[in-house]
Amino acid sequence: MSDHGKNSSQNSGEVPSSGIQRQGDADARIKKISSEILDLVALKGAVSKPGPGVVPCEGKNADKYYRMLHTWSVTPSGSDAVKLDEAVRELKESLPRRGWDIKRYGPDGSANKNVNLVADHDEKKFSVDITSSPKENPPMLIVSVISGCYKVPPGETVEHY
Amino acid sequence: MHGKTGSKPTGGPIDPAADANMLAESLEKQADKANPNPNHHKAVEIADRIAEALEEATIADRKWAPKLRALKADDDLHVSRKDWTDVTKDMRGVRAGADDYLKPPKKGSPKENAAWWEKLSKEQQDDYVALYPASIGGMDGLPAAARDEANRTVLAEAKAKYQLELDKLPPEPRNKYSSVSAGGATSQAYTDEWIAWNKKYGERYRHLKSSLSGMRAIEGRFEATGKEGLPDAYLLGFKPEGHGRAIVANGNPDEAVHQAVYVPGTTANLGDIEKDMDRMKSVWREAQPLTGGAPVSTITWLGYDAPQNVVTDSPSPRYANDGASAFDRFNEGLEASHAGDGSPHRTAIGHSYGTTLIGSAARQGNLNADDVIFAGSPGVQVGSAKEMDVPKGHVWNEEAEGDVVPDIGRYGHGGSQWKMGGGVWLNPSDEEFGAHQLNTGADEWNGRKTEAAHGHSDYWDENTTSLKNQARVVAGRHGDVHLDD
Repeated sequence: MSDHGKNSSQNSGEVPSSGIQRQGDADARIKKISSEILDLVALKGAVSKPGPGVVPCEGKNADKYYRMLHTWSVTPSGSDAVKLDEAVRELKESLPRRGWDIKRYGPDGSANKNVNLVADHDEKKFSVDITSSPKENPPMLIVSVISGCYKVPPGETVEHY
Repeated sequence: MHGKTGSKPTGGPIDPAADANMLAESLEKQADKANPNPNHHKAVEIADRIAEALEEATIADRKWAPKLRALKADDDLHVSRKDWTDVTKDMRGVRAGADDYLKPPKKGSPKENAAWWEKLSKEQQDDYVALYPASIGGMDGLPAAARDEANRTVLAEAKAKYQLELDKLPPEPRNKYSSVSAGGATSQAYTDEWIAWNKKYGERYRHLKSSLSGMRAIEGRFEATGKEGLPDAYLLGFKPEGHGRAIVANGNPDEAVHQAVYVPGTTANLGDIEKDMDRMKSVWREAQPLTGGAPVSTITWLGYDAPQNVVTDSPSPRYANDGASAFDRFNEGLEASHAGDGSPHRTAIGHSYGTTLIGSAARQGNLNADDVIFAGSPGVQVGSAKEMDVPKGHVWNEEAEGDVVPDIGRYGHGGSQWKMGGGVWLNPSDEEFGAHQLNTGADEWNGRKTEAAHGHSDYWDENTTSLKNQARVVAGRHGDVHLDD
């Protein structure tokens, strides 16, 4: 039962609103979320470099509304390569302790039947999508963090990067 | 350094080392101060061209000194026709000198162009970029860095020229509408003033404004480089005339292991290029983390005249057929200019009418792609995935409910009613076509279809699911793609 009534700031299917936010602050906030999640990932390996980017809010003026999306990966080294599914399982336990609400856990719709976890943090207004990807090259853990929909302060326009 | 503006003319030759832009300004001021002169606009135009010619000559270095010395417009700042023809003669002289060793293949293939370029010395290459930026910028097969440098020059010059021209146009009358009352009803009508202005200047005005908007968006992309790891932008094609051309790459394709080339659809034009550039920026950010460090380059390819009117133009296959060969050539060029051994993994992505072009490109020539993604396709001119020039299992189709709505505009949710005029092509969404059908996020739960929900989270919508899937194909992680089951 997707209870849309819980969050009063949204209509059915609409991305939650995160209010007015300067882009610099929104950028810093999502990086902090990513950093907190990385701390919970029980894998040693290289972390991908690109930072978060700006994406539009569906159906809203792209000059005034924006979301932050940060996708990153951990490519495990050595013996950790076999622990990808386990890492997702461990996040299923550790994320709720930090206020995350597990929305989905299990094989996703891919041919590889990757283990996938989706969790929302309704207080901080972020969602995270975590997928173990052991069968492609190189094996890695893929993490995507997305924010709610922000509006730029009055007089400003969205900088797209 | 800023020379002799305002001082008495001597009739002697101008110092070519003087700042050419300052010269244009002073020439313009002279023209302005002159009487209301029916040739005012022309004078300014000529002034601009002279400054350009002088600038080009100045940029080329001392080796060209003999030609420069011959370049003697007299310095009395009155722009005579003779001055202009002198410049034309001189530029011909400069180019004639260049011709003996700077000869690109006439109508060469991208491979031939690449071979020619490689034979030139670095100095010769630099000269060529400086003297023929438009040619070099559009030459498939040449390294991305050279095309980028050339096209940025074309962009800068076009921007200046367009802005100058726009500034000279009479401004749009503020009183555009007036109320007209008749028989108790009031309606809006255009004012006579506006109608007269629009008849004479409207089309040109709108073209200049639109192109300048696109140019600013491209410059905005240049400025965004480095922000949160956004890679260098490479301008691989640029033309402001007509609906415009813009080919913008994120990351150097010549160094990339994975490339994506995206063909936008109906109404795509230079003025609106920002949206189409943003799409590929997002794909880059999603795909780059998935390759274990292997570089990714995503390219927005507005290299054709897209149909501008959904109602009248889109059903015509003409746009796709005309642009298809340009697309094939472009990809051939990417092959030829790629550094190192081995071929990059290339994904062609089409949106809406862009898919039709890709289909046409596969039909007419060699698509030169390893994977093809169709998003919101109205039809691709071929009846099966097999004809798409890619290995079996490498055609991916995304069709979301009402996805073609943005293109149809006021036609609303009429996706199924929109068929390619005159043809009975299978749509890639048809099972018979044989493409992988990608999940676009709609979920079935308890018998109710929850739209655009990913695991009951409201944060993930159709766009983000689509983005993720595209990224997985682009990064070569085919087994990770979310399929529609």
